[in-house]
Amino acid sequence: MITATHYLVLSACLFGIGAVGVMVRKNLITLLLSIELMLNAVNLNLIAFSHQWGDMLGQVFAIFVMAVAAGEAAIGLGIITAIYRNRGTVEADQVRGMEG
Amino acid sequence: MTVILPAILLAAAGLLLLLLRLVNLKRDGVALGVALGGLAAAALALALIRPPAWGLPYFDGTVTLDPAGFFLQFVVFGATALVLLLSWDYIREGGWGMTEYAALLLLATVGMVFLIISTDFLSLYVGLETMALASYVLAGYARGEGRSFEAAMKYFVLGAFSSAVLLYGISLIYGATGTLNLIETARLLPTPPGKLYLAGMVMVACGMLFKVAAVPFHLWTPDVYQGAPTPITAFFSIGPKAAAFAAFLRIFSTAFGTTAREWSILLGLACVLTMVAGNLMAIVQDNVKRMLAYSSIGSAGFVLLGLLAQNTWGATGVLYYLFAYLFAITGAFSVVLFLKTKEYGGERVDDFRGLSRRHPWIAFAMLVFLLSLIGVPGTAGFVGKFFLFGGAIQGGFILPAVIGILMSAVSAWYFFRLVVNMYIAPEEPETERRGWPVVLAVGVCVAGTILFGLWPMAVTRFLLETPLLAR
Repeated sequence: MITATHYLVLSACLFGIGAVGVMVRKNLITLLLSIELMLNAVNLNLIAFSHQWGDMLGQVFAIFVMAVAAGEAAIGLGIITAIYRNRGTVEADQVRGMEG
Repeated sequence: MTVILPAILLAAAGLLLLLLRLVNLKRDGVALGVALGGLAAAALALALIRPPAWGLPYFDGTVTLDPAGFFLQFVVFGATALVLLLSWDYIREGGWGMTEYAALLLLATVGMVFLIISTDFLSLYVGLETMALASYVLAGYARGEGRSFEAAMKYFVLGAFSSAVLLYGISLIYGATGTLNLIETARLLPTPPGKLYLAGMVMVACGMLFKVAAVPFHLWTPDVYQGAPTPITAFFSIGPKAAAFAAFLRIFSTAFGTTAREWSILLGLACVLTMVAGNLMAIVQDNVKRMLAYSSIGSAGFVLLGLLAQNTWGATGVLYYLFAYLFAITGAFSVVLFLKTKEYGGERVDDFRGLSRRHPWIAFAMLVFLLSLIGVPGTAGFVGKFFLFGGAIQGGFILPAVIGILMSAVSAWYFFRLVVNMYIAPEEPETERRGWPVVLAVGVCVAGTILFGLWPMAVTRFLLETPLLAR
């Protein structure tokens, strides 16, 4: 029997991998992937709880999260493209120009 | 329908601007006119809607109109209108085009409106992202300027990261209560609060602290504020921040209100750290944009004080302080823009030398804004801080209030460096002449700061007489 707790553990793992990815990786594309992983962990949670409570709103929320994630990816890739044209690199630590 | 009419009008104006771009009607003046017209129509619609009572649920309980939401919508409309005026010279000199810029600002404002009026996690999240996605693009709008792209990238990565943390928290709260509605959440919270709820609450708090740039989640702020185009920096420091504080207030005092004992330790710590770190870091800055960025981190700490207080004075203080901050910070950034020359001139503290002799009125305006940011009596900033500190003391948060007052004194120290440069230091070369929109924005900000400082009753009577938040 798979309960909401199992899904919660899986989503916590996914979220953790994503969060660590954002903190340690320097490649901007990888950062974007890590953020997507975190959002998918959220979706998994929402759907598991939606099933547990017998409430559709959680699934509706998951679809909204996917739609927003698509918009976010579009803008993120746009910014990364602009940076690549401007600096010739997508490594976060080579982009820094300002102090601090 | 009537509750979201202002948002509909703004979205229509924003889409109209994109349409104008499509048919190649790219006159900057037309864009500015359409955007300001849209904002005026939205503000008029908001002023004319009189709901039968404050705080009724609309659209199945997803949005509401209560005094706090009503008031803060005017604040964000004012912020967007002032920022549009400030942008006129900046955007035209850069040749970046007003049309899309104005459209993005209006669409961000639509997001802010929903962030302010939502009483449901779903519409709150969609409003937050509408605002954030437009803001990421605006941060990088100065095409070709490396530091603008860098600001956009930092803002994007950390903004998306904090949204994900916030969302994860929301999903845990949903798991604990089975509802996404903020008012229902308050009713369905398990007592005593379970682990699932506590974990969710902490993550929501972290996500919101990120959005309002509070310590320890403030590291993105100075770089983003310095790198973004200056009008957009002014926008970030009041518009999205005011909207995020509205949501913050609504989530923590409406939805999580019954567990105030659990979260007040967490937020109290963040509040004190934010006030101290923001104001102390501002002392060592030589770039005025960075100095104002750190000072705005410190201000977020002051606002958190009102949130912590959990009483009428605290909530009134949050709203009034944000209102006063609108005039003071936008005014300060418009003076920075007024002084702008090629190659980031006008941004260093030294660029303010001798300003009182070159432009006595602009120097006087800057003095008024700085006094309001410090919180000197007679300015709107004082009234805001008066309610914030008063509310905190009433609520029993004596130590944070005392630290806040001390930190206001620290802010006087670094702001007086600017004042000394303006009034005492010897003269520097002439700056370029600026168009009327920037001067108009400075004038409006001075008038607002002094008027609402000397006559706060105009606003406080409305704020104090009704319960501010829908419950």
